[in-house]
Amino acid sequence: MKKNNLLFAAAAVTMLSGLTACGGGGKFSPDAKVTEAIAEAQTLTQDKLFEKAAAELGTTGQLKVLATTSRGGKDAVKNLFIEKLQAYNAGIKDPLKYDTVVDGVIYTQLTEEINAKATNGYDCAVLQDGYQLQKKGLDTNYFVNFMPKEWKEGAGVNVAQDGNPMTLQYNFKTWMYNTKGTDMVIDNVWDITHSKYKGKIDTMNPTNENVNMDWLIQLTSDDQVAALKAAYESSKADTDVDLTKYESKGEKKYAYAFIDRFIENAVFYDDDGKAVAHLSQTPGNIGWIVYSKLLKVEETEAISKKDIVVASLGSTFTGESSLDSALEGFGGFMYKHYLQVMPFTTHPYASAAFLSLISTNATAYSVWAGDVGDYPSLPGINKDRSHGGYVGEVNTYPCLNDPDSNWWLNKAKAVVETPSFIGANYDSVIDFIDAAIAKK
Amino acid sequence: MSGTQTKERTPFQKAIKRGANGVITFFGVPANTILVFFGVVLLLLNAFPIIQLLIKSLTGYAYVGEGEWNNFANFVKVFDWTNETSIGNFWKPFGRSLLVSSLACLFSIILGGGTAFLIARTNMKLKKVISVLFIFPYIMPQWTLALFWKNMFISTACSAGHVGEFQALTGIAMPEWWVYGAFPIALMLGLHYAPFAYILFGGVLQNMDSNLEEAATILGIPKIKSFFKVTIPLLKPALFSTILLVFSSAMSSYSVASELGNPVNYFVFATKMQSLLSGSGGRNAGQGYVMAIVLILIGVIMLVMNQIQTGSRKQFTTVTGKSGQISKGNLGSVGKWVVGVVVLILVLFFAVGPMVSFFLESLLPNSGDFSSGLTFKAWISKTPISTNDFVGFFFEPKLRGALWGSVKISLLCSLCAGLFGLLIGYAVAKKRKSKAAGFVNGLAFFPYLMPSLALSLCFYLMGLKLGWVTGAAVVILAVIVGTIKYIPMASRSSLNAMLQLSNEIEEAGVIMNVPWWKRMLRIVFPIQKAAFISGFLLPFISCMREYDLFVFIGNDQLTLTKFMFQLEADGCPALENAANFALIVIILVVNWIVTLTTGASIDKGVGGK
Repeated sequence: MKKNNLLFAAAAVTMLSGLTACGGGGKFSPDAKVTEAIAEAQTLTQDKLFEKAAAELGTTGQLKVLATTSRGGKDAVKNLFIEKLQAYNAGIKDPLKYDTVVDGVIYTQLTEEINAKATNGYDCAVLQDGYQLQKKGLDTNYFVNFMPKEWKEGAGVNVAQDGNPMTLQYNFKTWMYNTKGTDMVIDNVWDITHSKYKGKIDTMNPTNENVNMDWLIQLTSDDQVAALKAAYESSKADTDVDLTKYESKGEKKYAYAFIDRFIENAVFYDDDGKAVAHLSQTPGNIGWIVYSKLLKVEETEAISKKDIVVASLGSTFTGESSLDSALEGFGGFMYKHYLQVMPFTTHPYASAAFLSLISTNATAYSVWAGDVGDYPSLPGINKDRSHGGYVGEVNTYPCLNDPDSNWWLNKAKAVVETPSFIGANYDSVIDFIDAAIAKK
Repeated sequence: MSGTQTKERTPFQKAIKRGANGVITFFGVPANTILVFFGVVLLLLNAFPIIQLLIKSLTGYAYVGEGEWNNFANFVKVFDWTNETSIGNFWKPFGRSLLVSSLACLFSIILGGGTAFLIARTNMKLKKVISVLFIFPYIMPQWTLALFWKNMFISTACSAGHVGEFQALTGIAMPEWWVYGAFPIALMLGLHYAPFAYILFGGVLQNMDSNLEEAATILGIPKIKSFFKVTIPLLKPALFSTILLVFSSAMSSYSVASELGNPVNYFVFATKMQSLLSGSGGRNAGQGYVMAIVLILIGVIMLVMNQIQTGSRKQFTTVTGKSGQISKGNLGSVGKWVVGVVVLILVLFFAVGPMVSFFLESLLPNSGDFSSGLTFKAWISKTPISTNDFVGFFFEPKLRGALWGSVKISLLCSLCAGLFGLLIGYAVAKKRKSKAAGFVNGLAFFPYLMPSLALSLCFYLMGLKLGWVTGAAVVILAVIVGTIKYIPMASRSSLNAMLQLSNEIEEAGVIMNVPWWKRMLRIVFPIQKAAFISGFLLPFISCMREYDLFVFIGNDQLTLTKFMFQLEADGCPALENAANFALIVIILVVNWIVTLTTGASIDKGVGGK
């Protein structure tokens, strides 16, 4: 009996210490040194930032970056970062550690480090998933926002929309389908909800990467409901969706019906790469996939990007921005990569220098700029990819003629991730989505 | 006599002395010392994640930090059988997992036990090659077997299908149930864990004194009756250990079900639990932790059943030191070849087939697409072959670093887990009737029942509190969590070996006053060398292909499997397959080196001579 009591007491003490260690009352405040340094960094030029970063890192210091995209760790970025630091301290050799995890893990890792007040954890992060960013990083005041001077002053920058939280770039998920040996055409977004496509939509599991959930939540916004309603009205003759099942949702029935049928028809993969691999081998299938993943499809005798049609672009898109979208309804989902500094970093200036580099320097951004579907918040560092599908003078791969982000936003009516909307509406929609997924 | 009078001791002093003597006597028995030491250490290391798990299952979702007590709301959400979401998230996957795990046990016992029997107890030919190849499916990551099966049999008859290798060769489109769902998942898991049965059954069969069976023969008992009444009961410990290991592992297995279940929406317990734990920004993680507790409880039930079996009188010593005879069934001069060739073909298909498949996949521009021939780019290219600037396998420094990380952590884990498991197995066997032995045995096995992902998160949190987030400290953390996770393998292997070893063998050394460590090194270890060494090899192999356990620990170059995730995310399947192929080759090479240097290996443990 006594032994049992002891064990229980030990367990209770451990539980309590766990709770108090993590819970902690009161509003969280980042380290004042960090906020002050970042406030100053926002006023400094990139060169000045590198001078301060070099002094901060010394010859042995290392900036630790955690990201959901591996591109920022490529040699082009790393070498440029080193080169710019070496201009102020030639002894600097290995100043960057860049690690990658999925968005299901990154917020847990970062917030637990912050809860533990770890000063030897990650210094800054390249993040995605507006929902978790809003709830875990912004509402809590955990993350420190940094807006580079050159970015803020750059041409075409929308500071109000992309400045806080600081947006590195927009990534794009879109509808595509494999037409090899078929005459299929997807010209209305409701087409994909038809029961004939059950088990034929290749996409990433929304529970695996939360941006895929964010998109579904965003569909319930008034704008998207209106867009879906308009598309539904013009596809009435072709659709077999029974809207009466969703009457309890009022006007939002269009969004809920779409979500439900999309989930029902979809085949979920762990990764977009696997989804596009399957799509490229399966004529007649449809993909809801990150646009840039198309570039992973290698040309062989059996598989070709010529057979893949991006629904909004249609099968003959020439890359001209005056052309209209071939798809009624929304053409894709633009989610963002956000840049944030950690509140207990011992390298605030190095963090600022690194984030400034990847968001304003064309050479550093080149690791993304070659990809279709990546659009920087500073338009000046992007590449024109509108004729990326041409081989010589011939429009060989229309699916790779990527127009600019304005075309996707205005002509193809892409859905844009809005962290504040998703954060506010997640809880009211997620049970419906969970139930739809559980039914599968 | 010095002349001074001996001072009379007070009753208290006498009691103290008696107590001290008792303690010295108690700890003078090595098995007692081991049980006390590991009892304390394992209790602490088990308590930490369990308490974390309980807290998380009993509290609501909080965006950061711990949530608040929520009146068992997570439990209600999981178990409410009137709610469609609960049925879809828990009840349906639970039923499927019970089915799949039971079938996996059956497959592994039939395949592993059957092969062990043919090798140890018959004159079948080609034993050596079969024995070596049979462990391959265990060496390979589970999902690779699943991928091999899918690539081979996927067909246009499947709802999410295309022409696969078998259909391309024969024109026959295999039905969907053959490619996706319960049958292939159970078969792949059964195959993956068949080496467990093979090792455990083989160890007993190889060492079994045939006098017992011969006595039955002399008494005129028919062969078949003798098999069921004498041989099978002798195999009971191995049978229960196999069921315990395979059932628990199959219940928590994620990757096979993900590959062969998800495409047709056949979700099992582990795939649902994983998605609840890590999906939706952690919003449903509380329900995931409840499912993790259910998984642990199932394991505990299996463990208690096994414990009852181990502690019962129906326990047989098969190595007595009196006779080493093994009777071998005669398959006939033609039969021994026919059976050998048939078994070899089956083993080759499942053991070598996936390796051939990975190697070929490493030479393909698109996964599964042979239409434009093969290229060695993923192996030898010095120029980038991916958007992330990764070059060919032989020239990619990040890949080499991750590979070295895997080898380093796996070696350390196997040394620690192997040694601790051996000692625990020894002490538990020696004191198997005592409650302490049962307690330590249970504690040693417990981490095996915990989902790797949950264990990873719990120890990551521990690492954070200790400040172990970078450099060598991360490697130490990885080794600790790996050691805890893999001690069960080593301790089961050691315990099985020790249970077969008659006490009189060691007692001879005790009578001769041979110190304990010498008895271990000179008597106990050499006799059951194969089983003990498998206790080191199994953790090594498991750790080399581990992913979930290290998800939260260290960066993406901590191990090769973590780096392979980056390759997958980068859409570099050829390089990923090359890394996978290399992983298997390295494990095989280590196995081979162990064989060369110690004369023992996993396969030799079952008599593949």
